[in-house]
Amino acid sequence: MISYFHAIWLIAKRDWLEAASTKLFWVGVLLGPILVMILFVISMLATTISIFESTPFAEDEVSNQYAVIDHTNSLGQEIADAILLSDLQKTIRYVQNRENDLYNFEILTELAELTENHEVEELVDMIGDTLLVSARTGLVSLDDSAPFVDRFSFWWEAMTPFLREHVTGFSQYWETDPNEVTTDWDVLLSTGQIDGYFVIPSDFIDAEEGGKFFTLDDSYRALTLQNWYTQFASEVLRKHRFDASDIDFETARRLMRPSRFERSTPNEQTSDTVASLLTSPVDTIEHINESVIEEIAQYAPVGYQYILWFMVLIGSAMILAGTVEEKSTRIAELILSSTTASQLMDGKLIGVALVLLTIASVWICMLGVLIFFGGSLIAMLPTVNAGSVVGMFFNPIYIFNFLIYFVLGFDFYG
Amino acid sequence: MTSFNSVIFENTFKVFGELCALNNFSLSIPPGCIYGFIGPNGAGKTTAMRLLVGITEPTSGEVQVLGTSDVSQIRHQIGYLPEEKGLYKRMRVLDYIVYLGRLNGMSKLTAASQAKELLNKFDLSQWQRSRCQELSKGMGQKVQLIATLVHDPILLVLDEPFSGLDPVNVELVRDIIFDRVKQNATVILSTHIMEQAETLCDQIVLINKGESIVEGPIEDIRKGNTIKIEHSGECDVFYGIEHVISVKQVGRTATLQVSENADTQEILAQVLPRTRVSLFNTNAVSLHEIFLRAVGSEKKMK
Repeated sequence: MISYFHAIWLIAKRDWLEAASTKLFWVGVLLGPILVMILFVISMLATTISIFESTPFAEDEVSNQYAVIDHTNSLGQEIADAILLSDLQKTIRYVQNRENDLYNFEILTELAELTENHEVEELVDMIGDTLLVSARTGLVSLDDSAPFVDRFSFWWEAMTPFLREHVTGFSQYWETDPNEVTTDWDVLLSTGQIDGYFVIPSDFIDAEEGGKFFTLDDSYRALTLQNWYTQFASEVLRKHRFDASDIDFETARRLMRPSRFERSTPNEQTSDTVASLLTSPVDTIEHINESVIEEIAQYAPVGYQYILWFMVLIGSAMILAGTVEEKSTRIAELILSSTTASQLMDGKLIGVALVLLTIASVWICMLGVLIFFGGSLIAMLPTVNAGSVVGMFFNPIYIFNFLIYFVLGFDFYG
Repeated sequence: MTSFNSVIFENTFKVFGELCALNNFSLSIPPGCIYGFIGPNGAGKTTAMRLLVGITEPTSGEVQVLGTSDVSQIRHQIGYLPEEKGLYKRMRVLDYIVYLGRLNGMSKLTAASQAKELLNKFDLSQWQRSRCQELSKGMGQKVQLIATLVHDPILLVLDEPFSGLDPVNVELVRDIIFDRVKQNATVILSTHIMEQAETLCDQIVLINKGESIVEGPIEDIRKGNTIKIEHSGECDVFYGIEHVISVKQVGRTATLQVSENADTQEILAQVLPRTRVSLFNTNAVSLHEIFLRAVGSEKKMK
């Protein structure tokens, strides 16, 4: 006589083979994640479109430009200098952390060499001064014999749109040409030539009220522009106020430096300051890698959770559909003349579980392949070892937990 | 006592909610015979069959199959063909038969070899790699029957085995049934076609509303006190013949109701000088008439 478990196994195997031996099943399994990704991208696009639709300007009408009406005749320029220096610092960090695309520019190879031999802040001061002079006087030099800083300033001016696109944190707004000064800013605003304009009052340093920001845009774009400019304006104002109080800027900066707690493990060697990170490109890359990996480690189980959730739901539906079909076609009656009802249902549960585990295994492997080959395409992971990320995703603890929760959840719903 | 019968129903009740599908049903089916379950729709035939293959359990009473009341112990010795025949549409014919054979305890190799032999017998060899959904209804039914027979059961329970089959296949199934009985298997079948039951079954039970109305060997059931005579005269030619109680004539056919101990040969001798007889039938009660009489009398009583 057939053993109890052998009958269960036969039923499970039949159910699994019936599902997994069809081309449609494999097409569905392979296309499933792609469809989910397409839906994800569509929803992202829809969200983006709805954000743009909520602004008074159409997408092509967003100028990313602003104007400044400076009644002090000096603070506006100082704020522009601060913005320029910030962009320059970010560009240098970007160059230090990358060994690929931007190094195609010879000037950046020189810049990388310079950052190896100089303190970054010193270099920023040196280049920044020249850039500021260049911006004001229209200095142009293409001659290779010209000093590096002069050639860099020319390159900078030409490459700003490129940098704006590639360097993380680079200013996404820019001031209208000061030479195109007009008295009717509201006309520029209403025609979409600028997103907004700032008015710096003559008593800006001491005034309680501060300046004014005019815009017709009530979306987050305008808010971002306002916050971004306010941040640089505050920095310049603070410098002036420290000067007025006879405190030099370096002291002030040291006094105002916020404290922070860097996340670390006991045996891990960590960098002490941001400056030391900046002076050591290799350390910087490793530090960024570690933080990125830590971040990925936090999110890796989420993928398993989504798969688990999906599996349990479709699994229950599959069992229900299968049982109803067998009952309506009376096949169940035939099987029940050879087995018990519990053998039949246990077999169906295990069979559907095997189908689901097949789907889950394929999807998890697809995700692993995607991470491995797609990792370097993600801007966040420029130098992260894709293999280590994949290894972390296939952590045995995650897989073990997935199986345990799958069995419990599926059994409960099934 | 149990060892002499393949199946015993003993005061069996099966109740579904307010419906009593089997009502104090008792029956004994001897081994090696063809036993027919006959009755109108909803009489309880299928319920009785499901009880004896262990798909459902009796509400009360006992059902013994092949000497045990624990059907799970002898499932693999039973072959069951349900009334509505479903197949796993995407499964291949041979795989389907092997699957059911294995569920009944066969090894894969034995099941495959037996399945191929039966497919050949049923002229379905060329379809063994086809998917079940590609078969015609008749072919599907044959595959079902093969799946019922593949594990060589000693008790066959066939619910309406001829429904939907063409005359050629009806003959084929009849041959298979006779063949199994020759091999000492017991066959229990249900049918609506009385002529089939008459020619096929050794014994029958007439079920109506869950109760056994008539039961026993088919000859005993059909044995009645009626003679049918086809002749050239009028009905008055039978007046005065000893043991004739009443005469009813329609056209040239007269039906004579005779007393219980009447000698039919003596009656024939008395009739012959009076009229020209072309048919004299003492076995005149058909199952059809018994069925109508039994079910009809119940209706009249109500």
